[in-house]
Formats: sequence, C-alpha cells, structure tokens
Amino acid sequence: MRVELALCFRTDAELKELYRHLFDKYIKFVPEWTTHNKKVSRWNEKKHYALLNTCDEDEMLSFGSDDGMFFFGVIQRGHPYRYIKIVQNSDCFLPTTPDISNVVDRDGFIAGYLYNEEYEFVQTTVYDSNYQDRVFSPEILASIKNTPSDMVFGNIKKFNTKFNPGRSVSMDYLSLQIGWKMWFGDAFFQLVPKEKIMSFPHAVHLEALSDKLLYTQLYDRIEEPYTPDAVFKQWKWREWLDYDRLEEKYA
Amino acid sequence: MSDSVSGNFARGAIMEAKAAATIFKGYEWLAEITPFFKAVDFYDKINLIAVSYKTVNGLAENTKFANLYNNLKDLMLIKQVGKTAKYGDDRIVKGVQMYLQVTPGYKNAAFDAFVIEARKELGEANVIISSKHPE
Repeated sequence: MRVELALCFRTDAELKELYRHLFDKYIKFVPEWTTHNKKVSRWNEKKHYALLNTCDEDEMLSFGSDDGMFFFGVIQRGHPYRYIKIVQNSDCFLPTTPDISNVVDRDGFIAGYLYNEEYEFVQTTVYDSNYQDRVFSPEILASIKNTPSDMVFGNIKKFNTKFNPGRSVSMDYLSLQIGWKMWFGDAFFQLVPKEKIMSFPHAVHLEALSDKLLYTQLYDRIEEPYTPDAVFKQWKWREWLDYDRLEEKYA
Repeated sequence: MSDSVSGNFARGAIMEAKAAATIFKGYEWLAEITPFFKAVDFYDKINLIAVSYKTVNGLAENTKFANLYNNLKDLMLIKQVGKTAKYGDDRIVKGVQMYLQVTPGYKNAAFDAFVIEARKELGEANVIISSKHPE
C-alpha cells in the first residue's frame, strides 16, 4: 500500500525549515530525479539536497523515484496555496499522529490529510486512461464500479467522480480532500466554522488540539478505506462540512 | 534544429494529424485554420473548450519536459483571459484541457510530478493521459 501525506498552507506561511525537516525525517527512497522550477534533472545529492535550504519558497521543488515522491510548491489558483505531498510505501512511511500534529502546528496551516494513496487516486481520477498502467487491489477498483461514466475521446472512460466520496478537488485556498486522518488549522475555519467540525458525530476520534488546530481520525483502518463503514463516514463527513458547496464556490 | 528535435517535431505533427481525424473528430483543428494559435491545438465549439494535444515520446531522452511546463503556463493564461487569439482569429474559451499522448507502458517519475501540478492547477477533469494511439 502507498501512503500519502498532503499538507496545505497559506502562501505567506514560512516553511523552508519544514521542507528540510520532512525530507530528513520521512524520505526513505533514493531520488532519481529532481524537478526545480519546471526543469527536470537527474538527482545529484550534493546539489539538489542543498536546494531545500536555498530555493525560494515560491519555487516548486520535487524529488522522486519509482518508490516515492516528495513535492512542494505553490499551486496557482485564483487564491493560490502552498502544497506539500509525500508518497511512499507503507512499510517505510506511516507517520504517527503526534508527529504530524507537531508538523502542522504553525502559522498559515490550512489542512492536512493522511490516507491510502491508491484509494484516493482511483476515487479522484476522472479518466480511466490516466491510470491504466497502475495495478490496484480488486477492493479499490470495486470502489468505483458503480460510478457513472461516459465514453469520451473515442475510447476513454470518463467517471463522474461526484459519486466518489474519497475524491480530492483542487480549489482556491486548498486541496479539499478526505483522509483516514485529517488536521485542520485556523485558516480552514474561515471556510467551515470550527464548531461545526467539532460537532461531527461519526468520527473514530475528533479532538481540538488547540484553539487553532483540530485533529480527526475518520475511520478505523487506512488499509481499508472502502469498507461500508469507512465509506459511510466519508459521505457523512462531506455532508456535514458541505464539501459540495465549497467545491461549487471555490473549485 | 537537431535531427532528434526535428524528428520529435515531425512525429508529434503526424500524431496530431491522426488525432484530428479520430480522437478529436468534431473539434476544430486549429492548425488547419492558422499555424499561429498559441498553446492549443483543438477547439470544442459547443462547450468552448480549448485542448492542447501533446505527445510524450518515452523512447527519446525526453526528461526535461520544458515544453510541457511552458504549455501548462500558457493554458493557465488562456484560462484566465478567456480567449485564445492569434492574428485576429479569436476563439472564446471557457475551459482548457491538456491531452497527453504517451507511449504504451510509459513510466517516468518526473512526468508524474508534472502531472500532479497540472491536475492541481487545471483541475482533475482537464488532464487526460492516454497510451492508446489514434488509429
């Protein structure tokens, strides 16, 4: 299973030290390439590791290999946001709740999500041709078997992902997602009041870590986001926070 | 222009012509109207969608992707402005899409990073990747 951590911050957040911390603590794969400011080059440890200290915070930087990816940059939307993404296999990447709570407890934090990347990818991807070279478990593929679809561009299946509770949407201010575990900062409370989130009745765990930070574990197991109970909680979470309204207004 | 660059260019042009007759049948093929449209290749007159068709050759030493990043930047500008125009021949644009034609079995982690950015900036429904080549 591939695990993903996605973090969204305001563009005025100071994150340079955080990039270095995340890389040092969590990246277990050896990068094969670097993308820096829209230019791709083969990984050079001395040169590219230094970029974590020297690159401008508005620049996009990513390190990757077939075993994982570390990505950060500003996503250009009407209201842009800083986006950090780490993807690795679960045998080397499953950060603890206290670790991530510490990471996100800083000014400018909007939202963070920890989840099964394979499930999120299948639930989010609109065109089946976009993942035809990837292999997924039967349970994950079954999670979209009833999703309505049309054939487009001759032979590509286009899913109506509105019917997928685990989908992600990039919009103004943040990437709006559903995770196994989620954190929300005070910048998010301008979109959904903190009190509304705290009154959600179906989470495994929901806690205010401070006045500015909420944490929730939505369902039991990251390995099984497709069980009826997990899917029920994802739908309820969407309804409770009115994700449809947010998408309509900001996506 | 080097041989490899001209080779890639010619290959892309042939693929685009095939795509015009198959994948994008019913779309306007802008290259037929003028060679000077910037960034986009096909136009959906009904939904006012401008589509950029890009071939990614996995057999070539194509690890830079500068053309893709530049194209993404152009599409974002077109989306903001709401039209694409060259030499007075305007098309009103309500949406932009990027169609990436890759070779079968293509796997490149740097390409994946580009796709992450494109999906986040253009929107999930506006990035199409296919290894099924136009017949």
